[in-house]
Amino acid sequence: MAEDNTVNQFDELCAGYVLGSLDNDERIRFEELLESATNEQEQFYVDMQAIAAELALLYPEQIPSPDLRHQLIDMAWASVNNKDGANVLYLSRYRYAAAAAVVFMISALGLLFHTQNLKQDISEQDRLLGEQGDFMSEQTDQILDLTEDIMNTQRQLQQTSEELAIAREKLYESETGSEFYQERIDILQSELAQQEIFIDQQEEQLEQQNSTITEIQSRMATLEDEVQRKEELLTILEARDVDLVLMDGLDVNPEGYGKVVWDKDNGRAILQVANLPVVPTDRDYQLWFIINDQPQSAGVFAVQDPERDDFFTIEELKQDGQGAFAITMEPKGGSPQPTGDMYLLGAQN
Amino acid sequence: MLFFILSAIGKVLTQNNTRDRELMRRIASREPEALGELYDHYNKLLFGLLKPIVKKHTEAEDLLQEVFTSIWEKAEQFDTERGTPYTWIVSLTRNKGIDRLRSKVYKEQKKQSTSLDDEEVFMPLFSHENNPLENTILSDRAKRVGEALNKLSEKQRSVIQVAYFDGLTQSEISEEYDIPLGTVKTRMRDGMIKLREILAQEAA
Repeated sequence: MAEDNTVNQFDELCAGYVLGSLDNDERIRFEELLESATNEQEQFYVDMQAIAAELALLYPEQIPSPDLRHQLIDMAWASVNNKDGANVLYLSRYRYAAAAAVVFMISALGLLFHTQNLKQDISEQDRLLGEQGDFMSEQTDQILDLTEDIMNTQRQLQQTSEELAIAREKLYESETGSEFYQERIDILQSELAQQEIFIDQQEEQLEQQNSTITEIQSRMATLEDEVQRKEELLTILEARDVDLVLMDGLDVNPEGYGKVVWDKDNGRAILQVANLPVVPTDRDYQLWFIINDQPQSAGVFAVQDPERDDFFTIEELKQDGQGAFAITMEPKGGSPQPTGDMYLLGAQN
Repeated sequence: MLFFILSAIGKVLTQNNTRDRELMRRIASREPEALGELYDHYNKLLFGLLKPIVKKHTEAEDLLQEVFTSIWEKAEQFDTERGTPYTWIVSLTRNKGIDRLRSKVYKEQKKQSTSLDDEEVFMPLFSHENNPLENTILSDRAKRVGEALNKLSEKQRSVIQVAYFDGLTQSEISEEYDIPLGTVKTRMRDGMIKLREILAQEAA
């Protein structure tokens, strides 16, 4: 029974101890019991301590000032670098207060000791009594002044700490505000970048559309030219009296074919050619009208696509009499007389 | 036994325990970097523990520095047979906080203090710098302890909560809540034993 009571007492004290809930005397009592605890009791204490430590997880975490870490590391390095190997004590405000209290107590004890000496010597030093009294009064005043100074210093220290706390909180709020605006700036910059990408895409599309428009305009110009040329051809074909001269390919290009529709009355003609090789860039084909064995130039032209028939108009071809048409390849711009190979030849009927 | 079971809850916890023991060994060998690493792991948890006890931000920071100064000075006294570094550090921190709460200097100063207490800003937790996996484990641990606490009877739970979270002694609880002192002691003991059973069952 007595053993059960002891166990219960140990368990009760242990639970209170690990929760920090014992009064001072009970705490000391438990630490004494722990010194002589059985293995089972010691394990019980370890378990209880572990549970109490787990309870700490229920507190929400909070962030202390970043300066604390630096101060701590400085303290540790100072301790390591200390030649005597002694720890460098961290002086908290409470240690300052305690130090001030010790100074005050020493001063008070000194005064007491001094007063005791005065009492012992008072019978022998009557004549000095007044002087010592003044001295005591002066010392008392100084102690009072010193006490007041200490209290003032403590108050200033307290005020400074509180101001520092406010400053830290403001700094934190300022940093939090800065973070908020930095996030906004980041978001806006991200949106701006997206807008820039969008604008780039729009510009690219615009450029493509401009290119398409230019291409269409070019094709339209080509078509207009072609329409104009076909109108001219039609004008010639509409003439009531035309001569038709067919030209055949010669040895240099047997597959070649040519035809001249000649409106003699108006001195205009149409030249149609097919299956002629593409003319080199420094050369041209030249049409000749040969009459009485004398070739007369009727114009130059070039062939770019041998697969299709090409039509050309000849504005000035006023000749009387029967002759023949021939096509030769000449230097660029044509020659006064034929010099190159003859590709086509055909005579009027 | 239980702390071994608790420590074996997950690989991360075991890793943390191994990591903490290595840090304690290095701190005992006078390596300031190890103290910095330990601070990085636990400063938010311990600061969160201290602030509700002493209420004031500056007091809590002052105490936090005292805690790590004590760890630096007393690391070689850490007994590996008597629990994990985590348990030792949390116990040390709570004892510091409660000692400060009950010190005459603090009580006197608290009377003279202005209304700054009311203006204390409790900062939210920002965990960007922490390992997310570690946070999850801590969160699971907190959840498990909270659930275990809720499985106690209301009477048992309330005395433990008041003692741990408000820092009241058994005598103060008895006086404050008009409960016989013996009853407070019994409820506290029974509650803690039941907590041990619940946590051990869940960990098994």
